[in-house]
Amino acid sequence: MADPFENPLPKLELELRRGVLVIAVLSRLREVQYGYSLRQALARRGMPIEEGTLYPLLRRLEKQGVLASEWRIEDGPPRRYYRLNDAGEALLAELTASWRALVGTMAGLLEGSTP
Amino acid sequence: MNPNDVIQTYVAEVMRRLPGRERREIGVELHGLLGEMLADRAESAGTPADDAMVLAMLREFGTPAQVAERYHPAGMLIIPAMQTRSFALFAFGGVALQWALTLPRVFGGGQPLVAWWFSAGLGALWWPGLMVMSALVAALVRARGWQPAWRPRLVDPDRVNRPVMLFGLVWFALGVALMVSLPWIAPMLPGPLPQVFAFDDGFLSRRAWPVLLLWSGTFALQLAAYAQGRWSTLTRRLSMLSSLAWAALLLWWIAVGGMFQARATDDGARGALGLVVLIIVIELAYRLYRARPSMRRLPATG
Repeated sequence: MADPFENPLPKLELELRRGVLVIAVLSRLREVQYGYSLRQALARRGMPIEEGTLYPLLRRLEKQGVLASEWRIEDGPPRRYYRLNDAGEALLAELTASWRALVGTMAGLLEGSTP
Repeated sequence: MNPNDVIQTYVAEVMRRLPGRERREIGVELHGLLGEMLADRAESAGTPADDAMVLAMLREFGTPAQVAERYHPAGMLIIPAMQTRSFALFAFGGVALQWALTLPRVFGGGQPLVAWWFSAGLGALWWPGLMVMSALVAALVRARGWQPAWRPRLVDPDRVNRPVMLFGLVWFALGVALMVSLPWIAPMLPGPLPQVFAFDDGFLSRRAWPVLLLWSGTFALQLAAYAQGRWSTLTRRLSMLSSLAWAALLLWWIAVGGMFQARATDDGARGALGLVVLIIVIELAYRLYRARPSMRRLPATG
């Protein structure tokens, strides 16, 4: 049973971040990236994602037809590089518009509610 | 074992749990990722990667089963969260009830515990099995979207569903007719059945007659509710009194026994009647619970 005195903040923050994960990942895939470099790019901008979450997400997005991928062997082990395809670009544009509308709505809701 | 071997073993364990067509690609990608994560760690620590470091990293990453699960799409929900408690309660309750009814054979009847376990003990698990199968069918129906759309309906617990009630009354009349004529039908049955279903004369002459009154009363009550199209306070109260009278009569029969001449039939009938009494008591308790002051008695708003 959930502890009623447990601080709910970490879980709620995690849920918030989970909600924006897809848009964050898509936003960094306008340039070709492999999983680990993508993770580092996101972490550098304050959006750390566990590798165990990121890789299955990339495969899911690829299956959904919004990412293209290819294997490359450069100076190291074989790596799978991902980038947005046309459908991905369109999806990112729509999600960005939704996100901006949501931010505006939330700003309106939160205005005056802060102490 | 060097760190690379540990990663290889780990990745092999993950791959074993992945769908065949994606196994190889995910395995190569995962191997590369873990190698890079380990190299990063070693660089941050300023020491070469060793077994302890790779093991700590893999434990943080998750067990192979957990990692493989992340690559699988969400499976079909078989038991919705709001039904989990009642599902568990009914599953365990059903098994516990069967064990409670059959364990006296061991502790009072001299049946070896092992014999009980391999018959009624394990046999009781048919119930959760049936529940799981039903839940699977329900999940399939939900997944296919075969559920009818919700429609608002008038919540009136006193209203009688006439078609259902008529169906029940017909079966009630047929059942009563069969039971009343059983003393005359039984001798005409083939094989050993006349002995199996032969009533005890003392039971028929002294203890059976109140059932005719109760049957007639119950039938008249149901018929009155059917005719009016709803239960009134009076018919509800009479119905509860009738249930109490049924429970009392059946308990009397169970306590005295000797309904059938054959001992096995009599024992079986007493067990069955015990279950009927239990159902009557549960149903009565439910009706009393429903009759408590509730929201439907609150004045309507708006």
